[in-house]
Amino acid sequence: MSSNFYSVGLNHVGAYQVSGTPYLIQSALLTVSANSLRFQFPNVTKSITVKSNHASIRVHFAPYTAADPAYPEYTGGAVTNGNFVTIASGESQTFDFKCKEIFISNTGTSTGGADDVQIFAELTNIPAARMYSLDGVVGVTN
Amino acid sequence: MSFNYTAGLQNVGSYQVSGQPWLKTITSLADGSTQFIEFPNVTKKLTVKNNTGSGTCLFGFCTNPGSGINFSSTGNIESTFAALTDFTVSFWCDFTELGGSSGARKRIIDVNTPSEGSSNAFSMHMYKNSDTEIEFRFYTTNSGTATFDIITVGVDTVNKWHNVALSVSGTSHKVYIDGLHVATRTGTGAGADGLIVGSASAAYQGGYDQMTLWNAALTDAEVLTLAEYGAGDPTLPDLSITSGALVSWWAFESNLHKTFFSTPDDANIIFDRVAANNFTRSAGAYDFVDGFNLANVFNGGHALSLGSSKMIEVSCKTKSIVVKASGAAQDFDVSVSLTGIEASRMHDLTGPGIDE
Repeated sequence: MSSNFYSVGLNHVGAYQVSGTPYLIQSALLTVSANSLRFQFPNVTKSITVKSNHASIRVHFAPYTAADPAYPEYTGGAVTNGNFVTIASGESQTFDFKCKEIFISNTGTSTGGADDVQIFAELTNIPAARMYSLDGVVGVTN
Repeated sequence: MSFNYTAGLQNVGSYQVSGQPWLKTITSLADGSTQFIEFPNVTKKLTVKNNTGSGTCLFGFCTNPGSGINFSSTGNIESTFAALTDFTVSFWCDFTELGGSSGARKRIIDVNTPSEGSSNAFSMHMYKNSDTEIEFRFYTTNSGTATFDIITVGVDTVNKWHNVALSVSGTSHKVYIDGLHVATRTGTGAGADGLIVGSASAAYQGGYDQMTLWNAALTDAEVLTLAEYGAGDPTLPDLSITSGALVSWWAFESNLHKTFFSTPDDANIIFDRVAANNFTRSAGAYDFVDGFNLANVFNGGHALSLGSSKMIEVSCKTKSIVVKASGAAQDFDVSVSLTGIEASRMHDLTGPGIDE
């Protein structure tokens, strides 16, 4: 007897309509402005809210710099074509983006504590493995 | 043999599974400057955030951000063409630059005729009577003697771009503003063989945009069609003009915001895009500025304003936006949630609520 394990795909409408599994995480900022923090999600997101509690941060969906050795699976970088947005200290922003990971970088060099940046993601039940790579995508690294 | 299908603009699922990230940060957009931003796919939701401490970010929609020209002071350009007996000339004109009294009226356009030599058969001078009314003098020259009529026309707002058209059939000269017939006068019936835009004396600085010349007096409906057609290519079949053929099309396009032509207009030549009747600079100098449809996004009240450190999120489908810095240089971020619908499937955004 064989067994089949099906999972929903990236274009499964219902997966977005019934999404809403919460996912929260926080981290201290890095002290090197060019370096990127990566937050990976177990499932594809429907939306992500990023809150900055310590300093102005950059939000991007690839490493900040191209060919970052910490993330060898990426060749491009967000800074090359300005593919990032900035969130001031104390502010938050919500992105209705589907992705499996998000990158945060510090516009300065100071770090405050474990809750420098807080992330809330609204997850679908689409496994992260079903999400394509955003490396080289226009608006992300291009 | 393979088929490549793509989702269309009405594909419901494309919006429900949308969310491909697109981000851009733009710094130091100079005060008064406009930034045109195109997306690879149709948007579902977009956010614009002003990161500047002073001034305002204005943001709106424009998919054909063409350019126009504006003379820096006195100046003019001229074109000559094979004589036409009947004709129509239609163009966009920025009334913002008009003078505020009859003494400061500006010379907008002259039409040369074969019989009048260097004299102009028709000449249009304009000025503002009020914020909602213009007045123009419509000169007619016959055997060297010039006469003129004063015509007063109400407009919604003087300080923006308007479409102006002249239609000549024999001695019948018809004037249109924004596609509406506003006056008929009797002229020489001598035809035309040249145009002069601007003036080396009674200087109207501009702007001018999207001028077309037709070899017949178009009907009222066709002149209105030209005004409503906006920045579109007049050679395309969706512009249904049957009364006459297109003789010349001057787009006043320098590829300022987008590449429309492989050979853009420059500081000396405004190319005729369908014939060889190019405008050449005769006097003064002109600059390329935002064309009528892009300018009317901002001065026609069709833009959202973001004060310092403010952010706005809107749900809409578009393939491009325009942002203008006002009051100070602006730093701003744009983040967009994209659908899987290719931008080429999206129609152009123009008309009421967008640029008029």
